[in-house]
Amino acid sequence: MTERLTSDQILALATDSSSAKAGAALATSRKWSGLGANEAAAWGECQGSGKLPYQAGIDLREAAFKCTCPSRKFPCKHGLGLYLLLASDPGLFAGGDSPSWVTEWLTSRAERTERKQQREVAPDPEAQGKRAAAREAKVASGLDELELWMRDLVRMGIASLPGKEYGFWDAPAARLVDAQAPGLARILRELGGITATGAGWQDRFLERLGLLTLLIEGYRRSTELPEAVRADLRTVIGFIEPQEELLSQSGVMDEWLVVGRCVEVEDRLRVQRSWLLGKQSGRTALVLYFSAGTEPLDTSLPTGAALRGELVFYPSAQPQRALIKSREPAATFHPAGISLDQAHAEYRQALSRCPWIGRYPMLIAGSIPRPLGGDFRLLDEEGRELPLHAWPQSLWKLVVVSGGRPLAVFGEWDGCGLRPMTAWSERGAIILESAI
Amino acid sequence: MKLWQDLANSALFGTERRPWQATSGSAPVEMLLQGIAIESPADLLLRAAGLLSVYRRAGELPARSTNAAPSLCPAESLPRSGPRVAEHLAAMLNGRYPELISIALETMVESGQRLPEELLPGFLELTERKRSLRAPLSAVAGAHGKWLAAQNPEWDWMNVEDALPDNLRSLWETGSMSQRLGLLQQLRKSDPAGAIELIVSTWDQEKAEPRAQLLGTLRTGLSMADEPFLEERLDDRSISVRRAAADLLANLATSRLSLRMQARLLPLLRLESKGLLRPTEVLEVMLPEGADAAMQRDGIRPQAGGEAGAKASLVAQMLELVPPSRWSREFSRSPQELLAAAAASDWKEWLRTAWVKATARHGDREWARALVQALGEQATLVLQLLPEQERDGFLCEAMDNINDGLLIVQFSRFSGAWSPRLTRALLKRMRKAKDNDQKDLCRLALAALPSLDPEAAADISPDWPPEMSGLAAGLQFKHNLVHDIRNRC
Repeated sequence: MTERLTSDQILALATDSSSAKAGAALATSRKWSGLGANEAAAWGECQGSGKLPYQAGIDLREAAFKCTCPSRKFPCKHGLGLYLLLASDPGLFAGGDSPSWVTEWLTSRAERTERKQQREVAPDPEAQGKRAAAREAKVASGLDELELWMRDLVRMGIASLPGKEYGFWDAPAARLVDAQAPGLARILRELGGITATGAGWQDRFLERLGLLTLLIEGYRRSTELPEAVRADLRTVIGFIEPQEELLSQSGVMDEWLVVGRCVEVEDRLRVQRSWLLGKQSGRTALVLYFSAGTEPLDTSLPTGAALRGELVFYPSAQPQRALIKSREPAATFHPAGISLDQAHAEYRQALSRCPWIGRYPMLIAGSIPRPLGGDFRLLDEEGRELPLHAWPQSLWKLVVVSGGRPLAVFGEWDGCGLRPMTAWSERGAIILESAI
Repeated sequence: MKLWQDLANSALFGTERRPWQATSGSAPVEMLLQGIAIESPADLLLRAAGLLSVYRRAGELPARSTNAAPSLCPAESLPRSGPRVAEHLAAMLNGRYPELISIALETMVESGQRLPEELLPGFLELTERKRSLRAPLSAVAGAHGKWLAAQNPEWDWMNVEDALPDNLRSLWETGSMSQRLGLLQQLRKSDPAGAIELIVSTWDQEKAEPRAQLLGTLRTGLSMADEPFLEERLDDRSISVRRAAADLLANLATSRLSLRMQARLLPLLRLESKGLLRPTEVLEVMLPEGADAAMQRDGIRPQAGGEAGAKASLVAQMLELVPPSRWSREFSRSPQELLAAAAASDWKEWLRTAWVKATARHGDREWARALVQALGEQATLVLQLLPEQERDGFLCEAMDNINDGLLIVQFSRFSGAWSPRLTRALLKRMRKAKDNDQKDLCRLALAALPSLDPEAAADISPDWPPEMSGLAAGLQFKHNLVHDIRNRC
């Protein structure tokens, strides 16, 4: 069955707060005619400034939107308004079969998905091999240069780094971009930021230098390392695995619950991270989505929604990132979780397989969030606790939803604190931070 | 961790000045460090950092909590609002018709339900800007709200609002201006004399601006007990303080200031019979020479120029302050009779305007009725003093008779709740308004949405002009909101 979203979930799909506002303003029966909904879709016509009303439709199974308006935002305000109206006043929507324009759209979506899955790649192996070799060479010389630069830093001492100009970090980062190692370029720019993070910055800074050294060392010895570790090295450096190839492999079938979602801006790119948890496999999967400028974000994975389908994991010693190969709607469920100690034991094992893990997903069972002298902590049933890091508004929401009683909490561990994204009370999933 | 500390220090000062060396211990990690191939001191340090950072990360364990067990939120006595209401509330918090929030909260209070707890942080944050929402929020916050507020000093007002703080005096002396004003307002309700005492205790150290603000709080619980203090303030250095004091004193019909005004006006007003065959009474106005120092002390603003209009303005200024019933008594005439006599005067406009203001100031219902009858829509300022039935009857009739422009002017002046009858009449009248006027009216009506009766949403129909669609949407939202709260949807 299809789970419809609540208005919190719907508003979280907006690309920015202005379209959330505009969408909310359109969530009124006065603006709409021909409203209808069934298990698969909802639709309606919205009178805009033009002569003809805009036709807006929602594929409820995957929260996909369609609208005839010219807006480049996606979902547009009409789609959001329509869904909000459905959430607040379902009685306005007539049931039954969808009109032809909705049906056609749903069909073409299904066909597109199929085509995407069937698309065969017919590469020219020779040319590909040449290109790959050229890139390997570039990356290798980029790494050599990076190593020299880092050695200079620690030889002269890093004490003088805070306050260095932007160019100090940007120049070597730009050289890494030229060396086709965009992942490392990003890490380098972050390094500059770390010098401005106050007390203890030198520890965080040195940690990054150490991990970069491990990476350089590892990459040079690639041939001695297992395939999966090589894949991890390549991922950190910024090699991109072709999705078509991955999708041709078989994946993990399960019922997947979206346990958390967040959007962050990196280099003018918006990066959406959706965490999925498999019901039977117990595996967590990270589905990334990138969008540049006003390009739409993927809206098909709202927190609390579930799908039955096949996920293909990117090759890694600690497989985390995945692609959705096939999906159909499934009923949401209440995830269980583990203790803080168990989660940290898992984290240690993950680190031993891949030391470059940035954020690690943790689903903590029976845990109580609490404010403590300006900070927030999460306390588990075994009496262990760790710091929570997020916007105060999200943390207070977590605290009050708990009311001092244990909850299942999902979040990302970054080595210093847990960033909570979702909590489960007897009322179901509660989104703690919106994507806007 | 000493190993890491040494490494970080070496990195900080540079391997040139402070090279790092592996310790000679036999712990597994030390053995690993000792095994690093050395190319240069810098290289050694970087490799050691790589090894130790993974070691550190993996070794991080969640601490055993040494803090007291978290407090438990007590059980709720009120039921949670329904899911539809939760949707509406979240939408309002997200900027949809935020002006209806206070009505939503009040309706929830009436029907005895509490705010869904996950919305509390958002609403608590909102009241940092909108203090007027604090009282209704407090009433619907439930046990979760009180429990949550107790854990955040910014929100703890929810648990102390009703009781005066024990450290009243020190809060008064050291608190911020808004804290002090809040304290006074609260104190004025229970102990008005105590509030004056507080003000007096620090009066001489206050600056002019806060002095005027502090006086403003005396509007609550104003009585003759405040009069001596306020009378003294008429000699304050600051004009804003003098004005504030004069304004308050004028609200007290037996204050010395009010009596002085009455005494000044008495020789200036005279009721005379004119005409031989059918004598009519005329209220004659003698114009004063000017505003002397004593008048100015009482807050009368001297007018530039010596012409009649300027002098008449002085009469009007004084008349605005005195209870209108004073004149009914003085001349033994009903308000209607006095208004008729004023209508025959050369200064009728001045007299009427001043009486409308005086009536509004002193809340005189008898005069309000007479003014509305005599002046019609010019007296909207005092309409609210009339009983609802009477007020609505007048407004409905007026609405049909006046033109669009005047309706817009009147509308923008009207404040207070619109009864169902009045709301319906307005919507009906709006549909007949001309294009541009209709737009203006819709804008005003939408701004007055909190005051409009939501039941009027039943009148919404597809043949309403498109200009009114925004208003219709607002009205529908308000209707759904109130309806869903009452029916616990």
